[in-house]
Amino acid sequence: MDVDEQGARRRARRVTYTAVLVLLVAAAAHLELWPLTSYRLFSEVRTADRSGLELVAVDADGGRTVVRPGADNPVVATTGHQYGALPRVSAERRTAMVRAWLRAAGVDPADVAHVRLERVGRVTDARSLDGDETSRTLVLEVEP
Amino acid sequence: MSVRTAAPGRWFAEHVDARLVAPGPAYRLLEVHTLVTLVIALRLAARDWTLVAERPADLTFRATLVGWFPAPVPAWLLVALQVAGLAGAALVLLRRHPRLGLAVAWGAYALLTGLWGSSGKVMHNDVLTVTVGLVLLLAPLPARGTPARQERVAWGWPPRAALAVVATVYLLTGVQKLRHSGVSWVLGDNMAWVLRHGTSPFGDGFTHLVADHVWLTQLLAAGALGLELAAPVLLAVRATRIPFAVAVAVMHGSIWAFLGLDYSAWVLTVAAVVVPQGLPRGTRLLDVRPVRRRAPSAAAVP
Repeated sequence: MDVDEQGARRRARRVTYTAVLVLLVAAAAHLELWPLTSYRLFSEVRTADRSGLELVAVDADGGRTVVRPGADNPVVATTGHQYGALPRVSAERRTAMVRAWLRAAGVDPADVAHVRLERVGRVTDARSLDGDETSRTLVLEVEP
Repeated sequence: MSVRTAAPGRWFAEHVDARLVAPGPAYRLLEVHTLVTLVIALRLAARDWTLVAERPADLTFRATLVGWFPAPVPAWLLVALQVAGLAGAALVLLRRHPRLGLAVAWGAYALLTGLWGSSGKVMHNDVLTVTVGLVLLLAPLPARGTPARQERVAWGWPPRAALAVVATVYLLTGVQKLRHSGVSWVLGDNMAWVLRHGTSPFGDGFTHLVADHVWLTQLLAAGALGLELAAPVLLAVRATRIPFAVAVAVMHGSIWAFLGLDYSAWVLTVAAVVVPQGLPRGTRLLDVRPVRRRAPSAAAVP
C-alpha cells in the first residue's frame, strides 16, 4: 500500500470516529451547546396538561398585558425561552432583559409599574384544541 | 470455536472499519460534496438573515459555539455573510477551488444559523447540515482532471463518514425518546397530544383527522421511532438507503403538515448524502434516467 493511501486511512478514522464519538458524548451528557446537542426531539411524553412561563406587564392602575416580544420576528420571539433564566441572573441583568422584552413587544417600560414572571398551567381540550388555564403562580416580580 | 464467534464485537468493528477505509470512486465524493453544498446554498438563500439584527444584545443567548460574536449583529454584516456564503457555494458548483468554496459557504452558514438560534433554545433545523458539512470540510477532493472512476481511499471515506454522521444522529433521536419516555412514547396517547399541541398549516380539521384515532397516532409514533432506531442498519445496506431517504422525507413532511415545523434541511441533507450512495456500485448520479413506459407497439394492440 502506498504512503498516500495509509495517510488517507488515518485521516478517515480520525475524522469519522471523532465525529461519531463527539455526537454520542454530547447526547449522553445532555450537552446543549449549538451545534452540539443531545438530539432530544419530542423525547418527552406529552399529555393534555402543559405548563409554561409568561411575562405580564402591570401598569400603575393594575392593568395587565401579556408581553409578546417579536410577534413578526421568529428570532426575537424565541428569546422567550430565556424567561426561565430570570430567577438565576443578577438583579441588574434581570432588569435589562425585562426592559428589552418590553421594548421588543412595543411596550414602553416607562408605562409599566412592574413586570410579573408567572408560571401558567393549561389543559388542552381534545375537541376544540383550546388551552384552558388551570393555574397561575407568581415566580418573581421585576420593576423595569 | 472460531475467532469470529469468540469476539463478535471485534469482528464487527473490524468489518465497519474495513468498509470505511475501502477505496471509493472520485465521482461519488464529488456528487455528495456538490449536493451538500447545494443544500447549504439553498438554506443561505432562502432566509431573511437580517431578522437577527433586531434581537437586542441583552436577549442574545451566549451559551453556543458562536456566543462570542458581538451583538446586536448589524444587518449589513449578516447580508455580507450571506453573500460570501453563496459565493463560496458558487465556487464549489463551478469546481473552482471547491475546498475553499465549501469552507467559505459552510463557515458563513454555520455562523448565520448559530446566530439565528442564539435566542435561548437550541434550534435543530440546520444542525444536521452543519455537522455533515463539517465532515466534508475535512475531506480531500480530487484535483481537476482526476479520472471520475479513479478509486482511492481518499475518495471513498468522506461520503461514508457523512453517512455515519446521518446514521448516528437519527439513532440518537430515537434513543433519547426511549431513554426519557420509554415505550409509552409509542404505546400511550403521546403522539395524539403532540399533534393537538401543534399548529397544522391545514387547520384543526387535519389534526383531528389523525389525532382522534389513537391506533393511528400509535402507528405514526412506532414508524417514526422504528425508522430512527433502524437508521444505522438501513444506511449500512446499499439497497435500503434510498428507501430510508424516502421514509425520512415522509416523516419530516408529516411533521410539517401536522405541526408546521420546517425540517426541510434534514430531508435535503439526507437526500444529498444517502441517495448517491444508494445507487448501484458503478452507477453515477448523472447516469440515472427516469424510466419511461414504452408505448405499446401497433403489433401488440389487439
